[in-house]
Amino acid sequence: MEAIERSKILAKSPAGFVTRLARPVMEKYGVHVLRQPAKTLVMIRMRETVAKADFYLGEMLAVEALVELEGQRGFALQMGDDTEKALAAAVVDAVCQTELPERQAVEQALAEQGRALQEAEERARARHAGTRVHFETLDEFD
Amino acid sequence: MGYVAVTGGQEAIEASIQLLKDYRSGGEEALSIEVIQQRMRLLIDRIMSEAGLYAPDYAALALKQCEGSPEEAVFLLRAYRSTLPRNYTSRTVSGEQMHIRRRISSAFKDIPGGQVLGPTYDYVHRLLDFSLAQEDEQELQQWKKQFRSQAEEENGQQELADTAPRVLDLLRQEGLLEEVPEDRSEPCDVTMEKLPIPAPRSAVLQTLTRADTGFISGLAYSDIRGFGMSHPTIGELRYGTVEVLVDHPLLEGQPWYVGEIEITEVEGLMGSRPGSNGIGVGYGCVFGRNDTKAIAMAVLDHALTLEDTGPTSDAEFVLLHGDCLEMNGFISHLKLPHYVTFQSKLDGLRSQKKEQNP
Repeated sequence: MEAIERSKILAKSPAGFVTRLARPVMEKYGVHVLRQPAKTLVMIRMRETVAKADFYLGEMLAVEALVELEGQRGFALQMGDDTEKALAAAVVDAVCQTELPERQAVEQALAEQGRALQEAEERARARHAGTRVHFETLDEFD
Repeated sequence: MGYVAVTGGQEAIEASIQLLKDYRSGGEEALSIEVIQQRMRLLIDRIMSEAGLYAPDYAALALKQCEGSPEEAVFLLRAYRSTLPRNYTSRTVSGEQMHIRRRISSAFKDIPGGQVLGPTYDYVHRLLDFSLAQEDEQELQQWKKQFRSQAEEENGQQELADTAPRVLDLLRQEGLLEEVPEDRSEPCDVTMEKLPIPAPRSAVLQTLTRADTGFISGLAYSDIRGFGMSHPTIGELRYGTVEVLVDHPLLEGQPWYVGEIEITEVEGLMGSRPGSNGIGVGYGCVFGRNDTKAIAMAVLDHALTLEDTGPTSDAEFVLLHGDCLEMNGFISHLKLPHYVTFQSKLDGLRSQKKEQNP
């Protein structure tokens, strides 16, 4: 699983899901916290359409963390202020880069969660589909 | 008359702050952050946009802290934001990648992907719904569950594109839009440096998107009503979510997903300027669901490019007076003691009267 996909699933999932994946690993192995979870701002760079100029739309509140597990570094940077979730997400990210026996189960859980998130998004899109306008052109009047 | 130092008021200030808490705690029902965040969404969007900080929970907290005052909430968020490091800047986000929830055009009936109204107050009757005063939460949740299941079932088969091409791209391809040279300069950041005048395009857009909603809406209204040159038609208004990605700090060249934000983006067709053979376009983009602010931004974006004597083409006038924090801070300072300056004015007036009527 690519880092982008993993980061998306971990960010979109509830904190409980992420900590449930990370906790057994944290209890069994020595996780070295390289950067304690802490809040940071992410400046959002946007491109407009007239001159295709970039400008700063505003900042987003996020939490970042960095850990090391079995010689592999795990990273987290997620919107919001949940430090506990960010630490757990960094651990999950690290697990996915190790050869630990837990890796397969973690990746499988992430893939399943990814599918569930996708379905939820499709349901949300379907809720909006009814608001699509179907125009009818009227006959011309003399 | 000399200056006189005065002291006092400390206890009164302390008592006033205690009294504020008393005012804030009206009634006997607790106001949770979650309720504010989930049910006052449009207010949250406005606060985040004017504060320039996307943090729905903290916007809700700020509103709770200040009895729902937008100017105080923006102040609180701006102050808090100034305590945080900014360790990342996102990859460039484009509205073209938006996961669309609303998309309309008042210029074209048929647009690729279709017009989607999404959630809008445009078509509701503006009649007070007194039944909401006695709204039963359980019934509301039941309605929501039923609505969702029915809408998902009925519309599940309908094709609603997640993303859509821009409506104005059709006109661009035909060469009907004004040609504007591409601006690939590094963006100016008005939160880190003083706004330069004349302002680069990036500074104009950043200032407008952070501006007070009422201020820029009023200015855009004045522009359209006759104090400016705009005759806008909404080429496209789209609302939805965009993904915010940064460069992975450990894996070179790979993106990392931070989260999704809701934005409203507008491309306004503003008419042709003298000597131009294409239609001028104004661009607006704001945090959250806020059609009016995004449209107003597009109107002003274009007005500021015109050589006109109207107020909305005066960059200094438009860009230096619309910041929520600055405007309210300045007006608020008038409440501070001006005893000496005002006494001086009175002294001057008295002397003048004495000279006139010795």
